[in-house]
Amino acid sequence: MAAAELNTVQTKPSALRHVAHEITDTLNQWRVWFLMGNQDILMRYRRSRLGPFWISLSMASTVIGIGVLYSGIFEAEVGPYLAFIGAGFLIWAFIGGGLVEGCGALIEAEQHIRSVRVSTSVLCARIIWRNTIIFLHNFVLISLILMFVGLRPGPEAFLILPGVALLAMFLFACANVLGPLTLKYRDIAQIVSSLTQFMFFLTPILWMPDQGRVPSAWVLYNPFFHLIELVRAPMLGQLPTVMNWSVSAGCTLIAGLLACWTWVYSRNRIFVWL
Amino acid sequence: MVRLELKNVSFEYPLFEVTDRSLKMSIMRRLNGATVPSICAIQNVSFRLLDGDRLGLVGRNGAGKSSLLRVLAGLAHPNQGTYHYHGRVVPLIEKGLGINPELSAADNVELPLRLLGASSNEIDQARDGIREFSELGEFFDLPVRRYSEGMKARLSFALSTSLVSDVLILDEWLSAGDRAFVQKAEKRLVDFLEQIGVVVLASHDLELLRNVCNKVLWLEKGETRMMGDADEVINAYIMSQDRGASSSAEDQAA
Repeated sequence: MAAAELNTVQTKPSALRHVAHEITDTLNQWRVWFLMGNQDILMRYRRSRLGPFWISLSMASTVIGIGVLYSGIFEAEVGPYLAFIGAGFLIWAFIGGGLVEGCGALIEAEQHIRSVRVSTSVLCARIIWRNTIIFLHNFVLISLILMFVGLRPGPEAFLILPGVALLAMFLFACANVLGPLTLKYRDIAQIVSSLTQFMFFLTPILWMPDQGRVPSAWVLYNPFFHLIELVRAPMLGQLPTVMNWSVSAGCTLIAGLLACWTWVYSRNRIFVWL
Repeated sequence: MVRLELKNVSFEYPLFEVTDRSLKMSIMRRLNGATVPSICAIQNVSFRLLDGDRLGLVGRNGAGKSSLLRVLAGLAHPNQGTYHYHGRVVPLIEKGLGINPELSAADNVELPLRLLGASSNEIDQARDGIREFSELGEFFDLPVRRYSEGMKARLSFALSTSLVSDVLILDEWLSAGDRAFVQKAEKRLVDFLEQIGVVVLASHDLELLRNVCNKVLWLEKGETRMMGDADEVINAYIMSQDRGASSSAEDQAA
């Protein structure tokens, strides 16, 4: 028989211990979210040979279509513009996917929550992991577009990886806030998806921030701009600014604190919210 | 030794209406001072179970059996009282959880067991046992969606009986389904249960409970109506049901 440690379920367990528990679960139970994420991808693209490359293909065709058309409208050079929106779409799909699917992290796993002990953080890590898999597939195709328009990876490219890592941590923290709250208030999913759509147009993804027609405050006070630049700048052979990094790190910290609050607030309630 | 102990445990859950599910609407309702009513699923239940105890839960539908199982499994949190347990609790509430029909049995061993809390070592050990026991032959490496119902039942039984725990929570008795399989399954089940400290089982099958359990808890509207020796409680439960049936028959006659 296994070593018998004493466990006590109290009506008001320690908040700090619970936060530590959620974090260690993410690390110790990585195989659970890893397997669940992999199987999600497998189920979505079962019996198709290209698998997730199907979305990558559709993203690539959108990028090329919009790139060629809008570069005419904006009177920009096709090559650099194509690279710009290619990288932007790629990163936005990751951010938008993480936020929107993060809302469903717990709803999707209702059956699991009803019958086994599974941490909120593990269910959220599964969402972020499966979006990372999709991101990696898209990354391959978008890189081909960048190569095609003549961009060659420079030493800045080494900053892509830490950029994506911070972005993933930000999205993970957001999912831990949105997942439990959406379980209670189902309309949060709709609110988040409309806001995401709205931010897509407000953030320099289709339009370049240096086209001079938009007040710079609009760009600089938009956290999504900094989060995107974290990865987009090194993809396009530029260095992200210190401000990009510090705003992104600050957002991740705030989202992380909110996640801790949500863990503690929701831990005893999740079951009755189902 | 004492494996688990409940002291005055109550569990109630709020009855949300559709409007409570909307952020906008519930802020409005909250501002108007509306409160969400709640119902008490478990009220003031206390008991302790020692190693070797097999506890059966009886009661009508809605008496709180499922809620109590979920409190014991650590899924639902009691609003009042304390609950202690030693060691590992494995809840087998949803059979076949984590089994992916697109994957083979071989690839379906890991996730279901991980969800129940198995370690890598235990999974490696379980894998051979499951292959051998389930007698799926070459089907073991084919997607589960191609299996017959009997084959699925064998796989799910083999999975359910491969993880040893200190406390086992069952919503339904473990069975292998297949007739030809019963003897082999029976033996595996006996060997498996010998290694389990405490078993808690909810069932409507009173004969099964008589055979399997040494203690029975009779729940009524979330409260303990009676708890004690299996035969004694089951007899009392049957009596009350008969009485209930005859009194309702009298009602109809009158």
